[in-house]
Amino acid sequence: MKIGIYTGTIPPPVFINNLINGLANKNDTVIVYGKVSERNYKFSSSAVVQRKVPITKLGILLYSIYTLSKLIIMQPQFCVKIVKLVMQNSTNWIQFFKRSCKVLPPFLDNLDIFHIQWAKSLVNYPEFIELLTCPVVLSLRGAHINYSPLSDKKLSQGYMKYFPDIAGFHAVSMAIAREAEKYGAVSKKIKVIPPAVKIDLIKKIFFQNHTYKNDELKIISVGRCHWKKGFTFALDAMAILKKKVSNFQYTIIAGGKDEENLLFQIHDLGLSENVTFINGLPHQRVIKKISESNIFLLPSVEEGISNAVLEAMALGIHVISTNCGGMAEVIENKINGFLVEVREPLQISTAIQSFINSSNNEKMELVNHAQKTIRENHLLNRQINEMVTLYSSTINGIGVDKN
Amino acid sequence: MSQKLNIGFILPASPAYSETFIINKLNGLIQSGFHVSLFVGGRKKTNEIPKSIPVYFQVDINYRLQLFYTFIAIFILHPIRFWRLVLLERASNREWDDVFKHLILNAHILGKSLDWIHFGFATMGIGRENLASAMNAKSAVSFRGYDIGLYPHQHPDCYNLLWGTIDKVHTISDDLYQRALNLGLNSKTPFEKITPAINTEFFNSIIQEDLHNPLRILTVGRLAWKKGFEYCLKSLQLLKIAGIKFEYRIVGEGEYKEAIMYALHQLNLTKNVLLTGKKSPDIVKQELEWADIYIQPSIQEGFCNAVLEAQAMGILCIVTNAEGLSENVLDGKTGWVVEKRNPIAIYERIINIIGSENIELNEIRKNAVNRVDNKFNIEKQNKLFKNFYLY
Repeated sequence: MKIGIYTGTIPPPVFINNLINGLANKNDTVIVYGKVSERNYKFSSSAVVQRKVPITKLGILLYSIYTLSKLIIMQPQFCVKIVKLVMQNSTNWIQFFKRSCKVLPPFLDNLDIFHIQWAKSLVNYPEFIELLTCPVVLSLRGAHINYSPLSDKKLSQGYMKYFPDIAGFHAVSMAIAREAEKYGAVSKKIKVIPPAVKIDLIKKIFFQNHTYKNDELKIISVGRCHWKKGFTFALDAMAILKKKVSNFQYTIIAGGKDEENLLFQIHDLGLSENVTFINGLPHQRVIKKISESNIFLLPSVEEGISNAVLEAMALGIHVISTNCGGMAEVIENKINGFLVEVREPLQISTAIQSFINSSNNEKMELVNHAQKTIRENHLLNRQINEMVTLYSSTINGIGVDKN
Repeated sequence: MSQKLNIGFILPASPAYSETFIINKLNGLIQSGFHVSLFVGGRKKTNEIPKSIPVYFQVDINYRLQLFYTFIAIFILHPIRFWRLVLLERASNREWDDVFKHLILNAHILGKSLDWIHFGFATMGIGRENLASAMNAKSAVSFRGYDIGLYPHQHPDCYNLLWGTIDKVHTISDDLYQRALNLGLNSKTPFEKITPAINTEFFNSIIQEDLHNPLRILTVGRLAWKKGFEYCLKSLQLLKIAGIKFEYRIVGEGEYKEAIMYALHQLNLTKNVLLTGKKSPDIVKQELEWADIYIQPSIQEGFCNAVLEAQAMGILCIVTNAEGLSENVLDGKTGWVVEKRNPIAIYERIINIIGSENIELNEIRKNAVNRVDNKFNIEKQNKLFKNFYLY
């Protein structure tokens, strides 16, 4: 099978990266399309072919001339049609060349299936859905479905227009599948394939000797600096916790620029001694930090299904998560973690205290259940197999089994 | 003699209509007979600036050629000030590249004849600490909120040099002054508290006695995280669960709109809340006339003119204790001050208002109108600013 994956950027986020490498390792031909964000990046599977959109003006000009020329030679009749559409969607010549670089390459690769990872790309580049002859699969992920269309009418109208034409949907959770149906996604075309982690993460727990010392409680959150990650509510929770528990350390690892409110809040709530803010770390170091913690806290107001939570569960770290998006499809309250309501700092603080007050046996039981959840539903092999099933059933034009 | 003083205001950009506190101040100074000039970033002079005020723009660092000839120009035309600034900068242990940067940054000011250089926000003084000395002028700084409450958390020690060179401080609240002292401001530096003021002749209304059903609640402000809208919406969710009928309007626009809209959706308040967008002062006045209760749920706030306007209109105000707000509203006298980041406190205060007798509420309304009329009117502000530069 020749699979085209449109990622937005190369390298893509870890969860898409894992998927790409996994698919390539199964002897499929995988071609990845995206804008370069890291020069000389290579996927771990050498079978992955990259079609990088250049970033320099000269690169854009040369690459667009190359793709246009190739298209004229390979598909002279079709070429007029697509160039017309690209021109129609561009406001000036500079945009035309930029757009050509992004849009034309998949038309040159004779793909069996084209998988768009982000729903906004579908609306931003309608050329794919309107003119590609192979079936198009769309991933339904977090913000692109859950809140962006609420405040962006043009986007929601775009979804309404194009969702009915999508051949197959990959939803990261049941919750997000239901949300997408509001914009015209056909239910029988949606397959729920939750995010997954590598099995190696689970193995690590057997080599770690976890002790639970209540007197040096370590709590960690990982995300990016964005309101949807709900770190402000987590900090409010820490202020409540501080009145009851004296010795704890809360670490926020969040990349991005919008940290102003978090730094202010840490100071304003007198939490400087208890809270460490780290403005982003490489993934391997994040994993190490999580594995050194007692509690992983997900305070988000919106998520598809958080990969970081799955990683923490696999690592044997207790998870406290808000009940947002598809998180209730992973966490069963007090069985394999703690589930609290969104925007409720008091509930977060209470859950942390419940963790402190539980016996070591109870803690181990929770961790074991969490790892069982990962083994049963969230391993990468399973995700890859299900994705291949989705592609096959989409190519064959049959409805997908939702689960 | 005072009428001849030249005052140069340093601002990040030409003030927009929403920055009434600056525009009022400029108008007042002109009326008092001062010569006022503006030195701003950007390229555009906004319509709100009085025509008699000349506006000078900072050099755009993206135009390298312009940087070059600006540098040469100040070197040739103002050699004494040029070298004085270089020496002062070096004496402040500044690296050579910073010295050059600051020469360029201040090129549009350096040649002007000024008695006072007034930094409109403390952040405007960074990189300009030695400017007044190089020009034989005095320097003043205004504390407005963001510059003292927020900026130093990301940039510790950013004002260390400024504290040593500034001649006079203007603060809009006691709270900000106290925070500046904590940041290292010398307590011996002369300071004056001059609170913001509003046009009380424009913002006045016949006091309405009965609360509407559904209850009408209003906030006017930029849609930004520091305004604390999510906490306010949480309190309104509690109000809805309690079965209280209400309508809430937010007048303003901003980068936090997406978060607010998602909160509305998630808290099931879409039908109760209207985001009106940015409005002119006339429409803001109409919205205030519509409202029963005004809420300012801010997390960080210098003083807040919108709360003064609401009080002047006789609206019942609930504000948080963020920085200057508890000086703006006197708790239990001209409105109510509740703890910030505490939705339950806002909710309980609204319930309390609903349960209060008209006579009690009227007392609050009248106190608010009288206090704003007496203490926060533009005439009073103008007089204080006139004296500010005459010490």
